[in-house]
Amino acid sequence: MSAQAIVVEAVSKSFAHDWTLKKKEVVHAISFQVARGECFGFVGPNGAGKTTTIKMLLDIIRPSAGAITLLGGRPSDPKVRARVGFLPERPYFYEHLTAEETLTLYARLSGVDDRRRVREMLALVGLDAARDVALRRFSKGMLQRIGLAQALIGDTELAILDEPMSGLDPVGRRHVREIILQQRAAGRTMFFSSHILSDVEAICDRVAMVHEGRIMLTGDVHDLVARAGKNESDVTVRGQGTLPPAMAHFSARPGDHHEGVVGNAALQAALDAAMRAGFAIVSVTPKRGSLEDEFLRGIGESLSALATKEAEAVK
Amino acid sequence: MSAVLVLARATFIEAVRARVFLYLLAVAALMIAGSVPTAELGVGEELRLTTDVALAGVAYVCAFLSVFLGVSAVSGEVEKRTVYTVIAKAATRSQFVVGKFFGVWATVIVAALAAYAMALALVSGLGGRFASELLYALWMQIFEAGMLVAVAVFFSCISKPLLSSGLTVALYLTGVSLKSIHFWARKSDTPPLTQALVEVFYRVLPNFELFDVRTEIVHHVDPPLAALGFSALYGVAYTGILLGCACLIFHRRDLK
Ligand SMILES: Nc1ncnc2c1ncn2[C@@H]1O[C@H](COP(=O)(O)OP(=O)(O)OP(=O)(O)O)[C@@H](O)[C@H]1O
Ligand SMILES: [Mg+2]
Repeated sequence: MSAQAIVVEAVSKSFAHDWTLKKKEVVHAISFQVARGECFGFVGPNGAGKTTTIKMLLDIIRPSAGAITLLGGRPSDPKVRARVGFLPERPYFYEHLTAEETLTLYARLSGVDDRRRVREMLALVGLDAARDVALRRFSKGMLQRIGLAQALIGDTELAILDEPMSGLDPVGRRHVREIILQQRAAGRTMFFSSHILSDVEAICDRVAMVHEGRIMLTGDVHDLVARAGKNESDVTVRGQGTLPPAMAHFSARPGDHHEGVVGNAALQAALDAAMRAGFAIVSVTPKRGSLEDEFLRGIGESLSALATKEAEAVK
Repeated sequence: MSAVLVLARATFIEAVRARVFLYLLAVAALMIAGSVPTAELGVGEELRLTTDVALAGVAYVCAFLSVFLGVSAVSGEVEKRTVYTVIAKAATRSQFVVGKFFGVWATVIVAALAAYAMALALVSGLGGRFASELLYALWMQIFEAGMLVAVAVFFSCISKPLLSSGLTVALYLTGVSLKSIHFWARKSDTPPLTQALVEVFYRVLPNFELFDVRTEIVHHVDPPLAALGFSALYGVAYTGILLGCACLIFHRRDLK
């Protein structure tokens, strides 16, 4: 059994224009790997090529170049796909089938015919009550949920979810996050795309960031967040009198509170001084960087690198 | 259950639960009922006329349903993106195409059965006893529908529903008069090139005229059993070849 759930090697995709047949490459030789049992986030802005890449993973469209290995096999092998679940972007299903019939259909397609499992999945995604409702009466959020359920039904070892949280309200988003974490805990590999970085930051082990069809950055989420760290802290103190010089810039808040930002290098001394001056320390919160900062920086760097290259080419 | 059966079943349920299906059955009923006034036109000939008009009505409804469901069977699912989750499961693309075909065909067969039941009720209500001949017509109707659905599904694998329905209807209209066109072309003063061309078309295009036993039936002539068998075999073979080509094409396509 291969240790990698997904191996993407130098995969490119071009689309021919409908009329002119002129080819346009939208994914440029991207490579990344997803280990088994991992929760992997595939992030990037609109039009980055996430959906295009995901469709190639599932043999819906074929790469123009490069190779994809899924669970040690090829995506074109139905036996491999039987172990993979897929939630497409804006999912849509047969509209006259009920929720239960729909899940039964997908269970059978993946070689499982198990009524109990269907009921379990309906309960998992919170569609118990809508079991006998035809899907044409479903709201966007409900379609997203049934989509998630069909992706996870069967003996899914790897779930590939294209924007699983889009179209959901805050409660729904949290619910989907929990389902993803729970599935991962059950040993399934979870791969999902998103352009909402906080979602990815909250639940992923590793991420790949795409921009304009190229991978800008892959890595461990915690490392990336730490790298983007700001090295300063938010400090709140309470008391009356004169603040020490390191806190002179603090702004006053109701109830004799004062708050402001202090560089981590001077933090210890500043806190000591404040306490000596009779202030109580209310809170000290290290400022964390976010994936967003790191992402924007990554895009910025690559853009400036590109600009330099172009400038050199012009010379 | 095999993927083909699972998909055929879903396609069938999806089709018969759509409102269009009910509307079409209603149209069939109206056409069959509408043949009653023509029955009263000629004394002695009433049953002939009734059966003729009723059978033609059923044939139209079946043809319409075959084309309507067939042309969007594959392209419609690509458009709506329902195909993504199906293909992403263990189904192969061929299983998808064949499953869609059988689902649509089953739907048309059920419509035909319902319409024939209505026609039978009408004919016996008017004092006729045509049961066995109606069965021949139904038999032919089923294989004709299979071939027409296959044509529609084939086009559905390569183009959008609008163009597909145009092409399918054109082939059907040519196909129902293929023998007559062939007969006419072989007459004396047709240029040899046209003759050769028509000959090729005659051999290659789907021959829907083979399934037409309505004339025999209204004249109370039993069609020869050999003809019934040959037409069915021809229909099955043609359907098989078309579906094979459809699968080959669909295998190579990007589904977008
Ligand atoms: N079938 C197609 N034909 C031509 N171009 C396409 C096709 N599908 C996608 N593209 C182009 O490929 C690029 C990437 O699209 P893709 O849908 O993969 O982006 P995405 O990262 O999923 O974006 P989003 O977050 O908006 O879903 C876009 O510029 C898009 O216009
Ligand atoms: Mg997308």
